[in-house]
Amino acid sequence: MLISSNFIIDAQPSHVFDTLLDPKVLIKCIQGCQELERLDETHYRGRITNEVAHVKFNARFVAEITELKHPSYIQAVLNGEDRHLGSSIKVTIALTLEQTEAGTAVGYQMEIALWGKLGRLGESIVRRRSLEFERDFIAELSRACIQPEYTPGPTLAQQEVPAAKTGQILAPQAALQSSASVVMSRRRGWFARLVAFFRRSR
Amino acid sequence: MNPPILRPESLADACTMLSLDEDALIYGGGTALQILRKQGILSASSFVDISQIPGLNEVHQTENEILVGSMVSIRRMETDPLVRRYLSLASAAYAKVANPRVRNTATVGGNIAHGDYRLDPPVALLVLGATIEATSAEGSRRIPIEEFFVDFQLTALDHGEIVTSIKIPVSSDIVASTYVKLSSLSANDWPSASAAAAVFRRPGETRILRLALGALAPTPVVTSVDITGLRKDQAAEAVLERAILMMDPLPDVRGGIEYKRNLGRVAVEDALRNLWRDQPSD
Amino acid sequence: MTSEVFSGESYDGNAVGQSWRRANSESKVLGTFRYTADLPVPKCLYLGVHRASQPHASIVNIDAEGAMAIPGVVKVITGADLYDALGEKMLTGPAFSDQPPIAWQRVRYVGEPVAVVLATDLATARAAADEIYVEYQDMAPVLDIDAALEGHDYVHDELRPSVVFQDLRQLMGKRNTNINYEYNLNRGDSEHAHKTAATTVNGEFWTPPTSHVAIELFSASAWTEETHLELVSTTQTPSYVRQAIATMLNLRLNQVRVRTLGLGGSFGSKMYDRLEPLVAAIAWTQKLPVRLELTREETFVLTTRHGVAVSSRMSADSDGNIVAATADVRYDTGAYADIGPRIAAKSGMVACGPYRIENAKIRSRCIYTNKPSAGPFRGFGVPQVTWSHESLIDDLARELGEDPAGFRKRNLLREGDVAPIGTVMHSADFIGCLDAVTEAIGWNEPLERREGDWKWGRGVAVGIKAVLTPTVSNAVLQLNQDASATLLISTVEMGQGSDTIMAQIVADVLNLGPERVRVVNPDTDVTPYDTITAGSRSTYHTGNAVKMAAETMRDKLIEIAAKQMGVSPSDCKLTAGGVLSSSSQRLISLEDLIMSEFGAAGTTMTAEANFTTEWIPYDKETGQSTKITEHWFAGAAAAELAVDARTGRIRIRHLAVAGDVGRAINPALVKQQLIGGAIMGMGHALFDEIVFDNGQMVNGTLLDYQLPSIKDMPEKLTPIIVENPHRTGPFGAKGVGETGLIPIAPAIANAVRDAIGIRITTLPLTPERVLTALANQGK
Repeated sequence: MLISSNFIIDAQPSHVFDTLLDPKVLIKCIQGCQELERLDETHYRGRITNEVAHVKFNARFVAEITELKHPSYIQAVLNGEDRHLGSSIKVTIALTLEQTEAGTAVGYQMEIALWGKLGRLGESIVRRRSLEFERDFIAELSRACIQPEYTPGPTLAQQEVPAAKTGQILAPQAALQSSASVVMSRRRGWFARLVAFFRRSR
Repeated sequence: MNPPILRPESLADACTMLSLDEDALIYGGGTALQILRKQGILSASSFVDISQIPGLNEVHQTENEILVGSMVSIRRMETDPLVRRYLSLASAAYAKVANPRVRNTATVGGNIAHGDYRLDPPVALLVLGATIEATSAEGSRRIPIEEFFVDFQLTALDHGEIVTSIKIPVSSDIVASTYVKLSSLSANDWPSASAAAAVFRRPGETRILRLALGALAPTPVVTSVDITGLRKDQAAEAVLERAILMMDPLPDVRGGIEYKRNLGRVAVEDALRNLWRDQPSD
Repeated sequence: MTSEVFSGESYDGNAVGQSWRRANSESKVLGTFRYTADLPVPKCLYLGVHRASQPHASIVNIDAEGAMAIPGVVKVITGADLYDALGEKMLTGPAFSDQPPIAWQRVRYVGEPVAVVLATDLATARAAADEIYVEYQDMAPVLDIDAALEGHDYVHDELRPSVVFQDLRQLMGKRNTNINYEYNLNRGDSEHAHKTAATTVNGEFWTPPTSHVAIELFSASAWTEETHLELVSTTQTPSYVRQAIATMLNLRLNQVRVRTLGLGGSFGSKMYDRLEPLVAAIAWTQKLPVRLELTREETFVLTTRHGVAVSSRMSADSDGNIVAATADVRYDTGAYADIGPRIAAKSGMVACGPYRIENAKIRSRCIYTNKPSAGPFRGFGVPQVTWSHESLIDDLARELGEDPAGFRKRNLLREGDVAPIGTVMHSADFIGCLDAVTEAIGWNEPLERREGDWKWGRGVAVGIKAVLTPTVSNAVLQLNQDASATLLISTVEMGQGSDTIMAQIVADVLNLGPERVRVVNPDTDVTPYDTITAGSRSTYHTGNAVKMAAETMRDKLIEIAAKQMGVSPSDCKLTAGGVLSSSSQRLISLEDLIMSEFGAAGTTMTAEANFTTEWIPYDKETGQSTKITEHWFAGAAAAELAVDARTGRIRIRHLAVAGDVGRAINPALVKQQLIGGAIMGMGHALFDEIVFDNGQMVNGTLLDYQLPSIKDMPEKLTPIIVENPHRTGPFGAKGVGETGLIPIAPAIANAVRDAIGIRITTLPLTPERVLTALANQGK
């Protein structure tokens, strides 16, 4: 399935570009990423875990950067496998970075192939996951670009800094089409996690 | 491998079992879990079957509400005279779940705990303002249904919490209610769009229309529109406008985003038509 | 849909034409009927299958350590193990020898078996299969027909047609292609005829892959006895399986025994090589008893119906006669050819429809892709081309301002006409079928179209299919001394009613009452060869063999009776009470007759017969044959329906379906077949579709792959039997298993066209597709 969208980050393209290739940043941007290691200039290796609809997955992956044009284009292929669930994932990603008045416009296109038992879970789940994935990715990447030493994660939640308030993060184009409702759902995601966090700590 | 099934005979035992095993899953009617299990993608270390716990299988009427135990079957909600009489909207939604075989097996608690965005009952419960009682080793708490569905396949329940009952207010304010289900595959499939709606007439003759949508966003969603003093066409326009903002459908084999939005509009229009029909004219 | 229940007490000796109650109907309703998986077998090791999670990749390494460590696991077998034991003989298939029981070196679709665990119980076997880890080197997958035809990636390095078939020999070793078969029909000069025609219509049609969804899942057990292999399997082709397994394992035919009981539905899914090569190869090479049971999810990827693309054109002259038709047909056969090449030829050849067309051109190709293999499915590839020609001719009629039924009627093939393939038509009453269905739905009465959201329309379609030719059927009939009969045939009862009607044929010839004839379950050690139970062929072919065996038996009885009574055989006839001598009016009961012949109670008499059909192979360039088939199936359907313009949902008010069955041996069962076919066809029209994403089947569960439910049934469904006796059919009969299905989808689409003025060329007609078409119409 093809997923594409774009978003704007308030930073220079070359800075965004470098940040995007930094495994220390990426591990925080990729929801559920447990390990990420840069093997060489163009290869990464890592592990990602997640849970959706009572199904937990735990996939090891290898990513290869197949094309790189500083500071405007990155193309990569990720191959992952959850051995236990007999499932594989292949993601072909193309990222374009462009200077605009508001900052760097990042466009991305992902062709996701999910094979095996997880492939039967249905497109809705994958798409839904990818939305969340995108939301978190944009938020964390923005933060990393703006405040390189900033430590994201649970502390953020405690500081009660909802994503929408940071100001630098604009809704992805895809989300803008559906206007208010999607913005609401983006906020609900954050809000829900806050609620859950406080409930747990209660 | 099939997870072992534990059958506690008290709520306390069930809570203990769940608190000791973070990969245990609560087993109600099993209609959802068995499908995932058979597909070999369920990562549960054990099932805690709560069917042996006394008291979870009852429907009680108190002064202004009906209390439904979590192990009450969907079928009973469809057919129980008490529910039909006082909660006709709930009964109508429960009657639309899958087919009689599933309705006889699936339970009221499991149905909402599953957290699926496209089940029939949640929208009715949202309109009626139900409250979920959840119990864990740490005690019980009540969750208003509006806070229950947190995100896609995610509820406000923490691990170890068991839905023990659903409390549904019986409101004499309701002057009309309806449940509309539209499917795109076979007639007894999940809805691809559903709408539950009711008009509440409050003291002072205010009229509030409550509308909940199912299968049209990552969770079931609800809204209230004050339609006091509005003509039917004005009210319809206001409700529809609000409904469209609530829609955020997910594309899947049942249809794309545009199609589902359209189906959602039709569901709301049909719901409004039913309400106006059942409600004496202003 | 009521069936008259025949009561044995009123039996008058004429069994044929009576609606005898379905054999075993009570036990099937009560749930006590024994299906194949219920047949007791020796204690077996269960197989758990580890399946590929790549659509196209080479296998680098298989790590089975984790699986082997699980208590109860006995062994793990890979494709390489089987190759070491069997060599290339492990590659099987009914047309091409291209499919290994377990992937060897390379996987070609998501879900292909890669390693098989042998364990002491089923749960352990399946759990251990999850503990196998496979390392792949991915290869570029071929994901659809267009990519297969245009790309440079190939599913197979070279073609491997089965050595059994002369006509495929020239394809052996062919490289750099995904086309495993191409059939061409050329008659007249279609290009010129199109050019000079008054009116021409074109279309690009698509029918998606679908699943059979038989209620009964697959199971197979295999074990070795001292010198032979025993196999119990859910198969509708036991004779084929025996041959295939004997070839694979290099055994004599008498070393392979294949048994099956009644099947809980099949529709073409349980045909040819399914689980049998896998269990047989493991059982024989390991000398271990093994059993494999599939889950529903595994069944989805085992076999499918071909997705088919058709580009077609049809032209008429100014008098409204069809003058030319062309069709380019592409069958997506998935990773393994299965019977696809035969489907491409024998079904592609009717892609222009049952019309008088002097200029016809068809190219029909069978194409490999990296998807689960497609095989036979009720209709054998014909419904997909019918979707094209019956949509196209409807447009042509409308273009000419003619009534779609009347236009068809003028152009339909009649008795004695020569079909575009070059064969003379006989016993295929398309016009009778068309008249019957249009009359049933009131075609000529004005349709109240009504204003508002529901748009009403009517549509009609016909269907043609050739019966599989040449084929072989045998029957062995045993008459017992107590005047009961035991019929030995290899026809598999799978709900179509063969056990009932074969008994009726015997009973009619021998004047026996119901329950006097029992049909034995297929067992290749006992029941004689029969090509396949498929393609609606059993009533005609096995029916003929059964009738001939019964007639031989009757002649024997008369001969013995004549001898015993001292009269001439021509003086005797077989009646319900026994053999009667006309001159002496003496009657000998069959019990007494056999008793005095052999002098012992419980003795038996045996008669046997063979029925074989012949064909004249089609010309390679023109596709023409003066006898392409033994006979034709003719059917028609008409629908009256409403389209909800707000939701796109279709509601069928009346669906009428007719089939020319030659003669109905059992009218109730014939009607049930027509109804069953029509409902399945309705599913294909409105619901059924396997959805792939990058080679992954995304709706391969019954949650997401849905069939019509009871609430989706037409408000009225009328099955109509048309009888034009076939000159060589048993009592004039032909089969009816597929007739009801073939014309349904286009009849429904033509009604939708009538209702909303839009031609939809992609199946199924989902609400979304209809709504999108309506939205685009407004633009």
